[in-house]
Amino acid sequence: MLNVIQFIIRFGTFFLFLGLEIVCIYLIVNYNKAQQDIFLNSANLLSGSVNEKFTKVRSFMNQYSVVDSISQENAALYQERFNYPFLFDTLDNFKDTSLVYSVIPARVINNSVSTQHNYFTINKGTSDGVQKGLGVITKNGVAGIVKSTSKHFALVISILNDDLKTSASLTRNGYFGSLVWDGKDPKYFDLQDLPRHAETKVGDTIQTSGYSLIFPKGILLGTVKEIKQKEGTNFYSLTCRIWEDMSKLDIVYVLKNNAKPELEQLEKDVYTDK
Amino acid sequence: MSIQINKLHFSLLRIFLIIAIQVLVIKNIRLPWDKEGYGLFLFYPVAIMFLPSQLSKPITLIIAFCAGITVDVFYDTPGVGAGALVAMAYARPLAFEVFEVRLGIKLGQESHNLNPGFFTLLMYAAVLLLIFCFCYFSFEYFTIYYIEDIIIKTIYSFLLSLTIVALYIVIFRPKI
Repeated sequence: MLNVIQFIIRFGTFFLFLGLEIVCIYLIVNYNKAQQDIFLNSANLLSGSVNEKFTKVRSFMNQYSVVDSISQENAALYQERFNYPFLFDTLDNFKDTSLVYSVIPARVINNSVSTQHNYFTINKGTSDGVQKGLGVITKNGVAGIVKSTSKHFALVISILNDDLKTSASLTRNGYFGSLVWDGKDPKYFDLQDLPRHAETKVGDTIQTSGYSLIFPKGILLGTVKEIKQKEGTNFYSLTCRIWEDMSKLDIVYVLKNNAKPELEQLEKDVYTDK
Repeated sequence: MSIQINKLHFSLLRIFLIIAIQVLVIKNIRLPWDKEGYGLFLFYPVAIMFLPSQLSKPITLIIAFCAGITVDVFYDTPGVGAGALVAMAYARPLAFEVFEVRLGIKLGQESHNLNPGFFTLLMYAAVLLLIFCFCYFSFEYFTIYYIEDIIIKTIYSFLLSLTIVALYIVIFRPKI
């Protein structure tokens, strides 16, 4: 306290000078039209500049929440899109199930692309409804299938894993085969076991076939780059370039098929009867 | 003590008269070639320049503020003259330090050189007047954008005002 008083006494003249100048500036700004306009203009410029910088900093700080918010919106749109066909299901199979597919947005927190068996980790786990066997997609196509989960995280088998086969079809005619990675270029996949009579040409698009319990039909994956005939068989394979760049995965969406347990049980019963 | 109070009374009377001359006489002087009104005769800073050296700094600042506001009321420039005069009053001790030997005055002490000489007083007054003019036009323009105009007006008004201040020094031989 004593130091404060001593400080004020020591610099009292300066503070008085400062105070009187502030009063003068107040008078100038408030009672002189020209100076008032200049002051307001300068103040606007200054505050505008400061606000702009502050907004940039704030938007930088908020970018994650914005991305999360957008991914939530995207998830809701995906959900609507994947459930849309079931609205017109004339067999009333899903009458009691308003949502066949639920979509959970997630972020990739770890990823590998350099080996033959690649995996990535997402920041959603069992507490968010993620379970083993669920499909994971991105805005550009399929990313993988959940292999194991913890409470807050899940490990996903990447499509860049030669153990993973995804059912894919030609968009133009619906003929389907298995999409597998040959372990070489992460951009190129093989669509195998297409019947010989399936017409196709380079540039055709491929999509998920919907013949699995994991991915719904119609998720576009990439385009045909090369047609390879297999000698002595009735099948051929296509080399396809996929659109997703697996080396920079960020936002992904986990697809939960709510009808899967019922369908699995049905298939299990059929195989057991055999 | 009574001498100091007498000096203060005399100084206040002198301030009153200087302000009266400024707002009643000098304000109405118009130079025939200066139709734009670039040059101003700013005489009233002498009221603060030649205040007694024993007067404390805070009182000098308050007197400068009051004198400036009074003139501003007549010039219809609230705060402009007061701000400049307060700035000049704050710079006055620095001018004292610069001219300490020549003036024979140390701030806060009784003067022992009764006749510092015309040129010494004029130099001392010129430094403070220049500070005053620059501050005055800076406050008037209130933006650095017109710095050229501020400098031109400062120099022009400084030269005009200095002639009147010189006359004042010659006629009254003020004591600090």
